[in-house]
Amino acid sequence: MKTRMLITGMMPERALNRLQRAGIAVEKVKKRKKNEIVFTVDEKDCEKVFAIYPNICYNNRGYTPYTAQILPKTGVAKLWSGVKKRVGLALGAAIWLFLTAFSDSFVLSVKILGETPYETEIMRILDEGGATHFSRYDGKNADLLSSRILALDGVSYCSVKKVGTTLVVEVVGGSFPKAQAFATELISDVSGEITELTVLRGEALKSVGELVEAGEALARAIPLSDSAASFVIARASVACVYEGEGADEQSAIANGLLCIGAENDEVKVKEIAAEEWEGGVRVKISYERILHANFLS
Amino acid sequence: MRLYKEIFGGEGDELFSAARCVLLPLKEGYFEGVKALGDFSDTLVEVCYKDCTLRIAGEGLEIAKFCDGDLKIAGKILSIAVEEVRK
Repeated sequence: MKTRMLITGMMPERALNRLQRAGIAVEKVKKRKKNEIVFTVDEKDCEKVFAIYPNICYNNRGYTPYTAQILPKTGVAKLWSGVKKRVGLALGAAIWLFLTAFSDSFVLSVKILGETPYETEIMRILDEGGATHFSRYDGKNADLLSSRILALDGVSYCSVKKVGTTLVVEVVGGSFPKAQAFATELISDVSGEITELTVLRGEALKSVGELVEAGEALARAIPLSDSAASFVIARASVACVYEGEGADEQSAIANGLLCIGAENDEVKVKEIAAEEWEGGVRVKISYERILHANFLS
Repeated sequence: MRLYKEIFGGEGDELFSAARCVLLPLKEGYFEGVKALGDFSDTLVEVCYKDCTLRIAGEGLEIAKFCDGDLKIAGKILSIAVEEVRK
């Protein structure tokens, strides 16, 4: 560390010469007045300077042609000196500066405005978009987040914006799911014999034991009025038979199961029979197809 | 230094034990073997050697460092004049 000093006396250059002869390196020498020079020395050399030219204010031991004194620190040196004396204050100030400079870009809390049952989903979307608690968020993907939240069923308006360190998500319409289109007919997609038919709402067009063709309606809704929406609640089972051919038994059966959609829960395979036929294999799969409209099983 | 010694040959040792100065034009100057500083200001610095005194004129001159006979003067040095030769 350097110390700024002042030497006062007639022809202060001579004092400077004596200091340099004593091995004290003086730097940044400036003549302030005719009898005053200001210079900088190493802090460790201050005692040497005072030994040669005492400060008469503190050490009045008689006449001396020159007097030396330490000048108060200025600029960065003064600041550094103050920091060293008040480490806690300086540390607090540094932390405060850091927080004010950088914490504004962080999300410290998320606020969802509006009645919505989708709070969990919204938080998940924000999480995937990188806008969670204690994460840095610059708002560049706000439109993307808004569009993803808008894609939730029943959400008619959404805005995502950052206010200070709070991410505010405003959602409108989240509590009202969109109206679903209910089926007004129970239509069979297979041909076969009806083994079961239950109609809770609407009217039955077929009865158990009757044959039904693919595309034919089994039940339909009863219109209530012109404006009121009507729908049917019905369930039916249709016994069907699939017949197919193949090069060998396994491939013929596999192809048959694939055709009837045997992997679905709504298809129950009853019986599989295979027989040789004209150089190949002919399979016959008996199965039950369950059909339902608005029927909660 | 080695370059100067090669240039000056055997005289190098004698040369470099004496007072000398190195000038970086328009920038700063280095002076060795300085006995004392005379009067100085922003425009004029008197550098005293054993046998002579240099009057260094310029603009914005400052004693950047002075210790053990070594002196660095910062600022725009415009001229150096040998002021006095003592016999």
